[in-house]
Amino acid sequence: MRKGLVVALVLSQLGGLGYLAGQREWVRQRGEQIYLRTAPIDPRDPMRGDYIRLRYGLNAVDLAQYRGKTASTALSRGAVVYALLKAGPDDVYELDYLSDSAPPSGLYLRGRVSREVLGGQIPVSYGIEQYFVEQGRGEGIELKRGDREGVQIPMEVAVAVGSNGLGVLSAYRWSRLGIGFEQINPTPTALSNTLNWDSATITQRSPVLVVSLQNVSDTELKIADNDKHCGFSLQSLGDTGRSLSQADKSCSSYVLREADMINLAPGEVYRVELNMGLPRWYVTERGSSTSSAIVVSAANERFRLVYQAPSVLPGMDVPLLWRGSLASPAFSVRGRVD
Amino acid sequence: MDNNNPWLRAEIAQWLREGIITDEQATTLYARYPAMVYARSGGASRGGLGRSYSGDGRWGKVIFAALGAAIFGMGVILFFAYNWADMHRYLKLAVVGGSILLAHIAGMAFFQAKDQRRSLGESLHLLGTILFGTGIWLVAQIYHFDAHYPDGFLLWFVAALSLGWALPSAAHGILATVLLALWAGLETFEFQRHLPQASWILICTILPLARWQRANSLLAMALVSLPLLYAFGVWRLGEQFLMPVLLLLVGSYFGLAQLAMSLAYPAAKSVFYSVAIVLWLGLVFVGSFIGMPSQQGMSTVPGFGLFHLLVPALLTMTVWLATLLRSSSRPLNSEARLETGLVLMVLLLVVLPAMFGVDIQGFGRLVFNVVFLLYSLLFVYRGTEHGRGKILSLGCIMLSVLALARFTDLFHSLLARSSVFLLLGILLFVIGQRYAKQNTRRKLEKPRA
Repeated sequence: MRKGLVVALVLSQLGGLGYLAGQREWVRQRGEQIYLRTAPIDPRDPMRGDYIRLRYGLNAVDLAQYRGKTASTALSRGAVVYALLKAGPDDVYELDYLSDSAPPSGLYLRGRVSREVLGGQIPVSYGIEQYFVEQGRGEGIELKRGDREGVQIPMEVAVAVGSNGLGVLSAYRWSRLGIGFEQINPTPTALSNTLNWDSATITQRSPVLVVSLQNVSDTELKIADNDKHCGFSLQSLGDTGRSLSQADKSCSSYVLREADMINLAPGEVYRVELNMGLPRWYVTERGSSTSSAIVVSAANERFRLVYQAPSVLPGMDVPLLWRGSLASPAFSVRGRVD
Repeated sequence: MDNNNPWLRAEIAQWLREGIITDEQATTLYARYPAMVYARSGGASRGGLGRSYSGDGRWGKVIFAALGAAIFGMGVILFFAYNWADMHRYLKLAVVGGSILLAHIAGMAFFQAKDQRRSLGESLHLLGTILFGTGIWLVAQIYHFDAHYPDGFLLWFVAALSLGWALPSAAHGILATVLLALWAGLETFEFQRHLPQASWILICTILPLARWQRANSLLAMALVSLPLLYAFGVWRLGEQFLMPVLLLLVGSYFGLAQLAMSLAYPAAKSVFYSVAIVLWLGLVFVGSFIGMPSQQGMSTVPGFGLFHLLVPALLTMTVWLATLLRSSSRPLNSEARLETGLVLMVLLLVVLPAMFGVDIQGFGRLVFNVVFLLYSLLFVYRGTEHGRGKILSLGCIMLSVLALARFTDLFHSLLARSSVFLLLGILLFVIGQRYAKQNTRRKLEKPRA
């Protein structure tokens, strides 16, 4: 009797591990394969060795992209949510919307709210935020992705998605476009000039962001931008509880024009300087009718600058155009954070 | 006859574990062959707070088996943490699954034996269970999943506990206790979750296993872990509640040590006492700095939280009432009475008023200092009187530590500081002389002692 119980418990240990592995193996074999673009950082887990911590765009969901029955502010830590995905170019998927119930159709990832919902974003984790590599190989990946001083190339990880929303990481590849970021802060003289916040002072006191987009593939590709730099937008991380968004909406429906296209040969760089003191980069808080420069009203907030390829009108054939979005490291007016 | 007493009592414990005799029969046998008084304790087997002979001979076996298996398992974890890229994931899974199976099959083969091989069997089963835990993290590594990782410890705990009961195995119980503490600690500090149920799981699953197996090592581990787990639960309710709750819980151990004599597990007395005295002295010493934090706001703690805070008070009250009302557990000699008095002094003069909302911080500090000082003197007396060098050393160290601790915050005058150190120096000199004299007398009285 007791021997039978011991045998049953030993088998249940094997069964438990078999279930954990089998569930994911099934999804890996039978699930739909997609790619998600990431911004990696790389720590080490003493129990499991080297791994790359992955951060996806869908880890921080704007409140505007939430369509659940439960109010977004009532979502508690650990609450189950579902991220419906939409296909983009090169099989890279992006978030369509987030819900608190499983979508009736479409491809979705099941996740959990990872922190208290504060400000304008819902933090969500999907259990696919770690990619383990053999000890020592993380270094090669780190070199490839670049560092904060140079061009950073995002990883695009292959995820098998099961019908219940379970995601299993299986492989990775590199984005064809890399991003470089530099923040030039105002000189001390500019800061001590005056106490008046007129537009000239604001421009003087605001940081200038130098963004470089580099073709890191071995074939030519195209990107798009115009005089107003509609290819770029400012995104608040919302981690201090405030809900900020870019006030200028003139670029919100940026459509590709022939004149905006920029050819990038392999290794070639497109470089822009963006002064955060210009009205183009002013931000507004939800519910407020006024807007101001981030140096005036959001000095403690963290932001990212995002390059977003424009939408292409039907009938326009631009096979070399790089589509998708690419985020810079996070920054604040006090200095870079990421 | 006396020489065979420990052997006989260890055998009785083993017969119990193997189901040859019942609890009632064991109680009768223990009563017939009472615990041999520790040769140098100076008498009073049920008078002193825990100085009776202890040891079923399994402490070493269990601890070394557990350590060996844990260190081997750690090696396996680190081996796989390297994450061999050239090793296919199916091969990795097969290696781990095969190792688990092999360890348990070998464990089952040896565990059937009635001799020393039984311990080897238990160790091999433990290794299998440690490999199972490794497997949880290996699967997560292979499939790159970033789940809520304390759940891995919970799953591992369930596996260890169930085998602990099924085999039965004290080493599995120890592993389960460690895993339970890890799970509760990680949930509390990493994920800010309130888990009062962790201490109840320990009380309901580990303590009965320790009693059933008469496993002193497991009982000690569980008794150390219980205040820790309870503290995790209390931490989320308010840091100020930690001190009284811990004092109450550990204070109840002293009473339980006395009551253990009437259970069919008399060796538990020394375990309860040893754990209690270590934790208690630590708490009293901390209290000598911080006093008793104000317990304002306890009544505003909602529902289950308040229950969680009041349970240690009810437990301690019940245990001490039972201890003092039963003639068989009441302290009989002066040393035991003094030690009981010191415990009750803290509970009644500091903890009780604080729980009723009285601000007792300064007075509490004074009581903790006095109690710590009296414990030091008691140990010095006990050490010199019964010729116990270790106890004497402990008492002297406690005296010196207390003097140093109060050096800066009590004696502002250099003259006062100098007097304290002069007195302490003279005292230690006198103690040394008395110990040497007592030892010489003992040797003259009992040449082979």
